[in-house]
Amino acid sequence: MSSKSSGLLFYIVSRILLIIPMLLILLTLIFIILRVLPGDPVYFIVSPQAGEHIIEQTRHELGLDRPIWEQYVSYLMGVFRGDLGKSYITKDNVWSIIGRHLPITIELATCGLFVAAFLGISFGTFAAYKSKSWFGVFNTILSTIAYTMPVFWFGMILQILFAIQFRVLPATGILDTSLSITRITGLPALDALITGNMRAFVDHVARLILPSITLGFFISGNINRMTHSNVLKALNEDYVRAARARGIKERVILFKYALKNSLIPVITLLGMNFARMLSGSVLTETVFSIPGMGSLLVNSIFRRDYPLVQGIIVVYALLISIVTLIIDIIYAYIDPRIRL
Amino acid sequence: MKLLDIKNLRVYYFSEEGVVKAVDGVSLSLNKGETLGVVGESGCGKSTLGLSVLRLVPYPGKMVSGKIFYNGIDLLSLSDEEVRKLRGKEIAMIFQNPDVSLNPIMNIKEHLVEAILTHEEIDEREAVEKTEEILGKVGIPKNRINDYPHQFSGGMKQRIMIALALLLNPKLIIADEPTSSLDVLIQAKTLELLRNLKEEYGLSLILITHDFGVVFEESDRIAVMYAGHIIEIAKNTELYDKPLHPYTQALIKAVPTVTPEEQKLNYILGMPPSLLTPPKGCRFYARCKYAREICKFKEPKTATVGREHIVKCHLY
Amino acid sequence: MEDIITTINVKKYFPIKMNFLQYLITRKREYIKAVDGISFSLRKGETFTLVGESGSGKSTIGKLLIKSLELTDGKMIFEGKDITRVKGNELKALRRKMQIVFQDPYSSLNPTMKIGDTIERPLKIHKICQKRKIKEKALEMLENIGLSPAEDFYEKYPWQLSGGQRQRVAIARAIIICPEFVVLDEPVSMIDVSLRTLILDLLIKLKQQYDLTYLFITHDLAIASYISNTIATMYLGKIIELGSKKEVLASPKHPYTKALLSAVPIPNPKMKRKKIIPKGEIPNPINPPTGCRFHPRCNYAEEICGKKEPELVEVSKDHKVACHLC
Ligand SMILES: Nc1ncnc2c1ncn2[C@@H]1O[C@H](COP(=O)(O)OP(=O)(O)OP(=O)(O)O)[C@@H](O)[C@H]1O
Ligand SMILES: Nc1ncnc2c1ncn2[C@@H]1O[C@H](COP(=O)(O)OP(=O)(O)OP(=O)(O)O)[C@@H](O)[C@H]1O
Ligand code: SF4
Ligand SMILES: [Mg+2]
Ligand SMILES: [Mg+2]
Repeated sequence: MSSKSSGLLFYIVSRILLIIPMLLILLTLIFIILRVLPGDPVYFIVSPQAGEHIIEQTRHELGLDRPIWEQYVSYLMGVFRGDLGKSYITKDNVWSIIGRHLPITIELATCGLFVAAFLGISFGTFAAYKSKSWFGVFNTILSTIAYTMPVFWFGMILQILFAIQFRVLPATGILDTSLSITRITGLPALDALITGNMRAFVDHVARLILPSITLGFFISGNINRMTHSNVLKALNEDYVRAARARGIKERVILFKYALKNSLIPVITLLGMNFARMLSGSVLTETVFSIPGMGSLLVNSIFRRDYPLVQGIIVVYALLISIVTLIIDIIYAYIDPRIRL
Repeated sequence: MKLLDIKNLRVYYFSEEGVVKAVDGVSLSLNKGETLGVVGESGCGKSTLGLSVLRLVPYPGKMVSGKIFYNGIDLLSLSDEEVRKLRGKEIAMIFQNPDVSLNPIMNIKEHLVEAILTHEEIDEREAVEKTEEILGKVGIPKNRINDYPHQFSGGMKQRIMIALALLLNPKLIIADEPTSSLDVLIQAKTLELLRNLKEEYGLSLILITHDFGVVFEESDRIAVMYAGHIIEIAKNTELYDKPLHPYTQALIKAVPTVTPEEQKLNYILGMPPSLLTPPKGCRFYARCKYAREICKFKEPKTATVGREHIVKCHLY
Repeated sequence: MEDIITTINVKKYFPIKMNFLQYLITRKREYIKAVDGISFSLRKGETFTLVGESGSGKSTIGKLLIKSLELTDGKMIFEGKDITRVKGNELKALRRKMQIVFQDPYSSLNPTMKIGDTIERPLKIHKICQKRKIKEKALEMLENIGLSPAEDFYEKYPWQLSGGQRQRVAIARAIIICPEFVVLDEPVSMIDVSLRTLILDLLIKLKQQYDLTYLFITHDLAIASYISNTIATMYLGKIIELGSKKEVLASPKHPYTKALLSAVPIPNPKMKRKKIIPKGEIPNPINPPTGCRFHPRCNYAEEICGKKEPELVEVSKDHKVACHLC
């Protein structure tokens, strides 16, 4: 690669091109797995007690009577034309179903990410800095609790505390039934802001707080540990000692030397978790009755809604590719030794 | 007037295998404007000694006893913040290992500017100018100040470390093998730069090195270390003419010269003792040609022979 | 004697980092010309020493030869085979024959590995000797290299060692598998003189025993004179003088080599020698001077020197110089 900037462009393009074979493999796999799994989608649409005729008719309508390879080819053709098909159950376009569930998941994942990053990185860093004080011990306990505690349970505790006991925050849902938000971008918070609907905005954001904390706290455990151990290691590096010998302030050493040098693995972990959160968090969504991607996926698998499951997978794959691409770009930004 | 006075310093590393007595009862003083060369076996505690002066001995190292006076102030009694203000500004260190002593994700300009702005209240533009000037002096071209450490050669990094140490005109520089990866011409220029600073600002220098050419050319006095002890200190020429300690004698004989002919070099047979379990008597006993019975059991006292010539050996 | 490695007009350019905006504006890529057209051969069994200016590309050549850097241009031949672009299994086989001791013993040792494991690793990777003999061999190597008691050092971590001790570990790791070709980049710069001689002698002994070839990089001309068969001087990405040790040290021809030799500090406080220090600044490998790269600093420079680049030509047997006046 010749120069950094032209290299970057080349890199991004090649990464995007790589998505195509990846999608192909993924879809083939999921196509096979779905069809190998026991259970016939037709019976989720019409009752098994219905007449043979009706069942066959439905099967025909869904195209499930065609040979497998024919279904496969026509589905793939559809995908590469941008058509994900229609849900077997609701007959809605898969894109529009996902379009209804994805935005709230993105919001939740983003907020969860911020909570996790803030809690994990700040506590981890400070604990490494004060590793010999009581805070170090406290933090070890805290981070262990964070990722061993059942999410379900933690979410409920928060609900009981803040929604039922103190009544400061709403317990469930994403918007009060008396309010509504005009859809523009799809992201409720953003749309509420754009349309100037402040009441809806406040209500919506308030409802995001508890689930975000639930999700973020859980993930912060790992982030915390990783930050802690990396910062601790970096603080023992020779360049830190050399910086101290120049009289650089401890605060600067902690952030600019130790933390920044430790950030790469932490960001990888954050990115991976973000991708995971984007695929929905069934438990959190269930506890807080949020209509997100997690419950959508679980339901569609349960009902053998092939097009919907496949569609969700396509969207995940795209999102994950974008997230990892962004992570790589952040790497190169932080560490000059990494050339894209 | 003594700038630095180290009294009976002991620095031990409390490692899992045991206590490494890296510096074990060292006394040393340095006058204003003086260059003290420190030579000695690899692993005998030279770097550790240098680090102690800045109170930067790494974990699991600890200063066990002794005192270090800088300009009459007891360094060990200062608070962390007070020591921090001295570091870089009053006492600077050039590290032995330039390759890992620069922050890999900061470019060279950031390193230098940061150091200036930490200690001086000037604006950034001035700091950048100063940076370019000092880098020019050590031979790093202006248009490379935005490069990152991994883009420089070993010797260039070493010169950057030197620039970082000289930046704020400290009174004392502890230079740990400052020119080990420089070619002799750049080395000569760098040493000249240091010499000029000595004349101009009365800079004092502790010069740790394995290069006897450099030590003899640059030092006023030379201290020889062996296994955690200082075993001889003398004036430059005196040490050359009249090395007293058997180790010093052997060491000087082992120095190679540049010659197109085949040369046969002497070396000192045997290995230095482990610092985990140093021998009870003289630490050089096992390798010494002149060893006597007493050397095995009793640690020699430090004797002063003639003016300012100190030696730690039973022969004197 | 046959040649083990030959390089033909080898170049290594490092692109300069620019941000997107700079790139849009200048549209021109600039390079650090670290190694800029170098041809030489190493004969089997010899010690070929590179000396020269700091930043002139010595380490880069070392890394190119053992294929840890890709060359920008030129050709490399190892044991009669073109290895310019070898990859995969062939490269792995090549790695077994070539080792390097990096200039910096601090960053090249894995901090999480004990010294014993570090030294044993190459034996394991290349499956050199029987499993039960591995430790024995490692301990023997440690003892040889002066890290005794070997059992103690076997269990230590790199950060527990002094500079010179780490350098010795790096040397031990490289020569334990008896490769055919070893690049030694300032391998003894942090080791005291007495021990240094011991290690140099060990290197010489191993060389004779196993018919190894060394590319030795050093700034210490005394070491160069002790260990080399051939010495090459580098200046700003070029070899400017190359010859047998005797020729180069006894009758240096290039003004830069002469200056270099004059500036060697003498370990005798009473002897002062006039050092020839070339005037001017150390030039920049991004846009090196035209003609002879040394001409702006050379005391003998004539008009042609700034115009035409001198070739490395033979001036006498076993002695090549790149200077218009020789
Ligand atoms: N962190 C550590 N833990 C345990 N032992 C250590 C540690 N650091 C250094 N040592 C030991 O302390 C001794 C002195 O080390 P020091 O780095 O001061 O030596 P040195 O004289 O500078 O050697 P060199 O010339 O090779 O750099 C060495 O024997 C080394 O093994
Ligand atoms: N990874 C890199 N990226 C950019 N420039 C580099 C890189 N590695 C080396 N260089 C540059 O290439 C030139 C030659 O470097 P090299 O390390 O080969 O020098 P050297 O002769 O070994 O010097 P020294 O004796 O100081 O170690 C230097 O200008 C250096 O800054
Ligand atoms: S070619 Fe000319 S400039 Fe170059 S070294 Fe020789 S005399 Fe000097
Ligand atoms: Mg040292
Ligand atoms: Mg080098």
